[in-house]
Amino acid sequence: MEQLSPDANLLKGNLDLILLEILEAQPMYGLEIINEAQTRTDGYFDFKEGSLYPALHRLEAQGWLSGAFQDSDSGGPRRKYYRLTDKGNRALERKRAEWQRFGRAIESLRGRP
Amino acid sequence: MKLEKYLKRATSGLIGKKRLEVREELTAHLLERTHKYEIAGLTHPDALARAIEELGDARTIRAGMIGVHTMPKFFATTGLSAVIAAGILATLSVSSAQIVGTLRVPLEQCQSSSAQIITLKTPIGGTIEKFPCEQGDFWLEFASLRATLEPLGVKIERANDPQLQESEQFYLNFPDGATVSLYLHKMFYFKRSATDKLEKIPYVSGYVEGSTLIEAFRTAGVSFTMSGWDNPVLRIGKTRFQIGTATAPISGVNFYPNVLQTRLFSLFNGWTTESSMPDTINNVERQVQMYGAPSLFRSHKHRIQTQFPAGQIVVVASREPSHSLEYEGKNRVYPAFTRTYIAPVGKDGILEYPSDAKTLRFKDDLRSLSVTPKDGAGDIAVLKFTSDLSYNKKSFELVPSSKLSK
Repeated sequence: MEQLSPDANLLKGNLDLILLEILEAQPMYGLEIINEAQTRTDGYFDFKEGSLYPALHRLEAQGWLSGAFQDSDSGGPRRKYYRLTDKGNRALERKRAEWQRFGRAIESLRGRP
Repeated sequence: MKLEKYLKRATSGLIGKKRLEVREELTAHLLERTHKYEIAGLTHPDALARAIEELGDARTIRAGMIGVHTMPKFFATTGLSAVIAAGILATLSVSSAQIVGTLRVPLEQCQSSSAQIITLKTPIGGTIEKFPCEQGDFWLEFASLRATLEPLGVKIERANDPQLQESEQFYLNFPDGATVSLYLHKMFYFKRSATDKLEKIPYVSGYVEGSTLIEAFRTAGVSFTMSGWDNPVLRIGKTRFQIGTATAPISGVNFYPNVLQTRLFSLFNGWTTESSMPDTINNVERQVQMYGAPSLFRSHKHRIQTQFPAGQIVVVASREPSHSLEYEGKNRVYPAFTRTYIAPVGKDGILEYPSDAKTLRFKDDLRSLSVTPKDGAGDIAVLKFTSDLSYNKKSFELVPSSKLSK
């Protein structure tokens, strides 16, 4: 069955939350994040790769992520791994709560005359 | 080379260590993806092309990175979100901005990593760096324009129109009776409100967009001309002034295509059909921008003897065969289209004209131009501006082939 992609604006508006959620488990580099997002959502989150790196750098500049280069295990160029900082963890909690409130608000609109 | 070109585009405008870091990160991404596709059976060039295509338009990455890494100090020190800065930058890049007394970087310079970066001031403090090699427009600082025109007897008054809360309109009253109505360009910045909402706030930039300025002058109802390539001179009625300064120059590469694009289009409209020239306006614009700078991408350079003085601006029209152009990261295939090459005549009346045609044939009728075969004989028609570019006048006239030689 065809997997529908989310609305681009919805994805863009929640990109921070998505990235923070993915990185909560462990540090990852860009391509790994993309693959992880696709795998964990059965391809639902197939975001534009070009928008990923500026977003990662922005979160790093905000102090939510910390990035560090590490040698590649396959012998290629170094990869930049991103991990969640304490500040990022707190931001993730806030964003999760926002998302839940938003979801509940939408739910509460359903079924009204 | 394709990888190098892509990385250069994606990181231009970034400075020093940050540029190297972004470059390294993107390189690792692309090479890993490329390797994956090679394992799947693609050749290296195909695999790399696919990896680049998937990563997307280099300009998108660059715009995002510049938004983060050249964030105004104001935002950084006050703790406002970088999203705000990125929002301003995104708004600016839509309008393509340039500055102080004018400015637009010649296309040739945009090929190098040392291309000029300009600084824009925001109305709430701080500055934004902008890489100006994207679009063909230029801006004029209104204060500079005022300082230039008032000593020439031009009276400038602000329009008191309550409808214009988000922009400012000025009337330029020229000594010989012409009145030019000019709008300053509107920009936006984003501010977080007390309720934590992001508000889009308009403000008057203090700059006039180049094409707006020219169109305003052309509709003023008196004779209007433009001349010169570097820092072109405008004449409206008896008043002359220069666009651009020694320290903030405007090249004809950026000036004339932008100003004349729609007029050129109307010139060609009527002898081509939409089916043979889809997306015609964009084609004209892109070709002028791509090939307006001398010698770019062309296999033959011709020297055409004209009877014009050095500095006369001419337009060489030709028809080009089908080919593909990379546009926003995708290859688009165009059927035959019109090429309009705008350039100044050089010393001794010689016009240097880069072309894929090995030999040239001068034509006296735009409709008779056949499609130029690569390395074959190509038809061209040469046009020049008329002596009055005001709106109700004809903008171009054909140069008779008898006045041209190879």
